[in-house]
Amino acid sequence: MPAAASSMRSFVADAPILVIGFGNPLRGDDGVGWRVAQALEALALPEQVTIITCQQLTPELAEPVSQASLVILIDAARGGIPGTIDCQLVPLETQPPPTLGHHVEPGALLAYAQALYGSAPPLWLWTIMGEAFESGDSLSPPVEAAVPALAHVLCDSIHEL
Amino acid sequence: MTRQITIDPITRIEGHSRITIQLAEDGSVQDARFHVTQYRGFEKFVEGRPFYEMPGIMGRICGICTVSHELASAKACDEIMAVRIPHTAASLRRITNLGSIIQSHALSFFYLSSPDFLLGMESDPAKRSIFGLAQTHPEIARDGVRLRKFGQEIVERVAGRRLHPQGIVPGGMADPLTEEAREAILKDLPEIYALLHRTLDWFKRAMEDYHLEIRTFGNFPTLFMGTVDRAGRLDLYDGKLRIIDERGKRVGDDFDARSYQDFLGEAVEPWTYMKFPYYKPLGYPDGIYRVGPLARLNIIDTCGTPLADQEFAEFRQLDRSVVLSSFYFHYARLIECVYAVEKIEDLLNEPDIFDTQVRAHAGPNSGEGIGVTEAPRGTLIHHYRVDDQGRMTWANLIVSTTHNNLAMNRAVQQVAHRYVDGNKLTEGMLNRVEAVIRTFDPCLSCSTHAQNQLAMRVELVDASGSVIDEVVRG
Repeated sequence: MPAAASSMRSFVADAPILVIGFGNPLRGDDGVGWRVAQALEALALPEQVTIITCQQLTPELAEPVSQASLVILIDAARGGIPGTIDCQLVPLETQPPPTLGHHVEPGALLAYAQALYGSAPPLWLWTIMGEAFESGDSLSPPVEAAVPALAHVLCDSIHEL
Repeated sequence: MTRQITIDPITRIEGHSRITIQLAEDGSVQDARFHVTQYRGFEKFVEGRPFYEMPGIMGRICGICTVSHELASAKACDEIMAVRIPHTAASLRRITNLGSIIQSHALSFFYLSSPDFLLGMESDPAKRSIFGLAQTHPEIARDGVRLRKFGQEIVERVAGRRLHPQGIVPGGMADPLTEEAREAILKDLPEIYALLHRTLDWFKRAMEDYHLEIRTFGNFPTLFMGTVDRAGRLDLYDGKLRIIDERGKRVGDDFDARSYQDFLGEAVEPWTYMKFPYYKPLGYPDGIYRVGPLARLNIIDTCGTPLADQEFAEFRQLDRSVVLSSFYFHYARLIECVYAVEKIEDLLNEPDIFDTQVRAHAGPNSGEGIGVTEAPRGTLIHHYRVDDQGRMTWANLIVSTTHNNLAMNRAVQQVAHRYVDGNKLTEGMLNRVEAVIRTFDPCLSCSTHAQNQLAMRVELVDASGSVIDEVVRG
């Protein structure tokens, strides 16, 4: 994780940063993106940071994405050790799916930002591995424990940019 | 020997469905059907729940027309409470509804259908998409994203959230309007008027290239139904239902939507989950009618706002009396967007728009409630019954798309007869069969989260079950 956090730093200057926490907050650990975004909001962040929460990535986000110098997505993941934090630089999707409605993938969102508004900034996807995605608005204990950890990592990384 | 072509699933619509085309031995089209292959069951599983939960639950039927379901549901609950909601609450509900209609029409017109108009019915399906459009016509694609965002932001600013807003409640609205929200919406209006003006401009020119589609895309006589206000103007929230025939003549007096069961019957066919509403006095299937933007512009006397009425005057010149071609649903959607923006501006300038009295409170005072509103795709009816404690005992929903079921099936037949040659399938042929469905903008409930993962396969199968031709997409 520290290595990933430090690699994020090399991509950005003193310019707008967009943080998007997404997922369904009524489906257990799927809401962890919201919770990290809210925890981050409570920390002291530079003025150029904008935080958005939403249930899904939608095409309308292409415009604010294109206006940022760095985009940080926060989502839940599944299929690993609960509470594990991971991060990856998302490549621009060269062949986004032909239809567009409720939801787009991160790489496709970048593709739309590039095609429509001429800019696709570096986009990092941070995830916390979940284990319980049933109906409910609470997180499982390992995921709950990872929320402040990721919020502080992101806050520190942003300050060090 | 008969053969069958199946288009499954249909792409660029809201939900899951398929089309089958029955062929005769010589490859000509015998019959065609539009099947809806998903089942929702909301009417059944709300039984036993408190009525005041209904707007929140029913809104989950759909991720696109969620506001419409919440409004129809809240109106049914208003009746169960036997209250008249405050005037300002009704205005805020209207604004929310108009914002929702704008975002839905923007999705239908720009995201789902404009690739057909601008890239061509015969173009490569891999590129015939909003992404393809972003590469060839980025300014138009940007307008689509902008218009949809504008509508979504109205819903968020007035009702609390873009998706499944919590502000629409039994008895009115949860919160009054803020000055900040009003100013933010008003600030955007000049840009949106300009956007709609240039969109109408290019679309009217584009329509000149689609004479054949206009003649054959669901172009037949039916009844038309929608809501009008007391002066016969367009009203997307409240009013009486009006039905006209193919010559524009009113069929009976405008009637209270609460008496819908006296006029509308529902037939069932074993090959689809979608019912077939029909106008009872004419029986099934002769009582075929259409709802939605095209129907609404056909039934009204005027829109009631100046810019929309200018366009409406041109719309009325398209046909001798009533505009019959379903292709013009697209045009009607744009005119309704103009109307919606003008109406939102009017409502935001009402002197009491910041009134804090926006909710009437009461328990269950009536055992039954019927809520009717105009959704993006047409008239939406929620009908509930409750017990003495206000628990739901029965629900019936007639969803906008359902009203158009008979017409959609007939439209598929018309296009299949005109374009499909069963001996050799082509991309343009199949796309037109899908495209006629897209004119109606059917919303088969919020299942499109899987839309992008589905391929489309069209098979030509002979009587023995052997595939003799195939086209695969996705």
